[in-house]
Amino acid sequence: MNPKIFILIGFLAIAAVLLVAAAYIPNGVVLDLLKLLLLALAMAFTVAAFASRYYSYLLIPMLQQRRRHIVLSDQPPYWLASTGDAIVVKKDNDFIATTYINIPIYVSGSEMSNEERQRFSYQISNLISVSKEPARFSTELRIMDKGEYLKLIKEAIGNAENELSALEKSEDVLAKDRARGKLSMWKKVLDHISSKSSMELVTFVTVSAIASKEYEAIMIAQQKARELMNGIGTILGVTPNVSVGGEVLKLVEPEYLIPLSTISQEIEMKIEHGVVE
Amino acid sequence: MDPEGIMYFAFSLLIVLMALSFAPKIGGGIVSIFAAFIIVAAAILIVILNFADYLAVSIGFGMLGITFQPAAGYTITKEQKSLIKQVGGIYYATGYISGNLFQYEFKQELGDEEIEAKMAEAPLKWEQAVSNITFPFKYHVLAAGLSVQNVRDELEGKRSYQEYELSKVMQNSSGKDMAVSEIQRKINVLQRKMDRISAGEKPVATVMYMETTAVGVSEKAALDELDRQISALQIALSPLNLDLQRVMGRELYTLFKFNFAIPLNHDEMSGYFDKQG
Repeated sequence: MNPKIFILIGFLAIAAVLLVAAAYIPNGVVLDLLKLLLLALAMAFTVAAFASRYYSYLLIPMLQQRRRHIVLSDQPPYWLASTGDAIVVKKDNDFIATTYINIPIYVSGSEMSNEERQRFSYQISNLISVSKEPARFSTELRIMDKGEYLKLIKEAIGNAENELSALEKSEDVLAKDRARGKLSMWKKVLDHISSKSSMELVTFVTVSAIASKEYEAIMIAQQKARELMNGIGTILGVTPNVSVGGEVLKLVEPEYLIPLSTISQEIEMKIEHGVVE
Repeated sequence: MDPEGIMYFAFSLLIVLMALSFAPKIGGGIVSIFAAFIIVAAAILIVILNFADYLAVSIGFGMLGITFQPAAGYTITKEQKSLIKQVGGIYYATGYISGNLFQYEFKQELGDEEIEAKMAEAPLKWEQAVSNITFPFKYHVLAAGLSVQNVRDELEGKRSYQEYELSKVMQNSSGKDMAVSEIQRKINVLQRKMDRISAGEKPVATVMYMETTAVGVSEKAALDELDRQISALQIALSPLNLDLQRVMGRELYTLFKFNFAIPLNHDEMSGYFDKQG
């Protein structure tokens, strides 16, 4: 039997007992207040019993912890499998492994003819029904990590500044102008690169499998992924691949959607503009 | 309402009725007024929870200021509509939008030419929508294949029922034309669905939702930016003819868990979504 039913029965039983107690306590000024309190508690348990259908995951921790910040779990939501190609979640005594399949599609609707667009839509429609098992088809628009690129530009600015300061006492006006121009160019490049985010669009499919052992769950998920990849390859004519390591994190963790290096540069720019204005 | 919902509703209202029958024993005068108020308030709350639990829970927890930690590093805000993760002093706020096809957009009601025109338009509309978005987002379609025989049997049952309704309406005289055309429309939709299955198309159950993440140097900044992004996403995706609703309450928690493990069968998938999805 579903454990939720026991919560329903438990809460309703408590409510019934409280009601009976409220009804059979003798009357009196103070006792009337107690009766009202018992009635209110009974009704609260009745409402909680009804809400337990969907909110049993909240009600029990709320009653146990009785504070404003309820901890449902203090464990990380998943861990990356040692193979790097799946993430694993523990559910009761079982393990659920989830694999992410990258679909490399590089087509643009605006470059297609009407017939090609129609065909592509039907392909996507077939893609959705490729698996009898549940699968999640996703498109992710994320900010590109420009950290390495920004580092290179900042290094170039540093070098240009050194070059200019070395020429400070020199009589060579042409060389000085060239160094100033170089510094100004790199600063403009940095401003341009930092002024707005560069986006990238990726398409992926998620598939999960459950087993009593972690390695079994991973193996079943990989098997499901292989079957899906065959179907996807046939429908779209592309070669899908399983996402591994850092690529998986980009699909799961919010901070990988917006890389820290890029975002800190943008925040810096916003502050600079705020100060100037 | 499904059988489980009816059971929860019936048992909870049974306790409310029990409270009403005990009301005379609780006390007379002002006490009975308070008792009646408590019982009626509980009954109203149960009815609200039955029809819009996500809204009631969101308002309730918002007023009480209760937040949840679904996993280490993550917090569900008191309004139950956003998730917060803090990494290196930067706050990442994530929100979800459910995307349901509008009733009148069901392609079973369209002619072949209209379907083809829509299929040809779809890639362009999608590309235009995405090119207007300048922040990270994910578009998910969770799909699960259904048993062809079961779906066929269900559709045949529904068609028989509609045909029975039609024969009943034909015998009555009042409001005949409108009722007949409405039932005919329903029969046509069911017939089209059956024809598609007969033509080899696989029946699929789908849940569509979108996810976006905003960043800020404080929790409030990230949440404000998230609200702005969600509004922008609703505007950008509106040409796709979707009913876009912000996800709140238990469905937010469910979608958060889907990041790490998707449902393993169709029953599990459909059990999560009955109001917003």
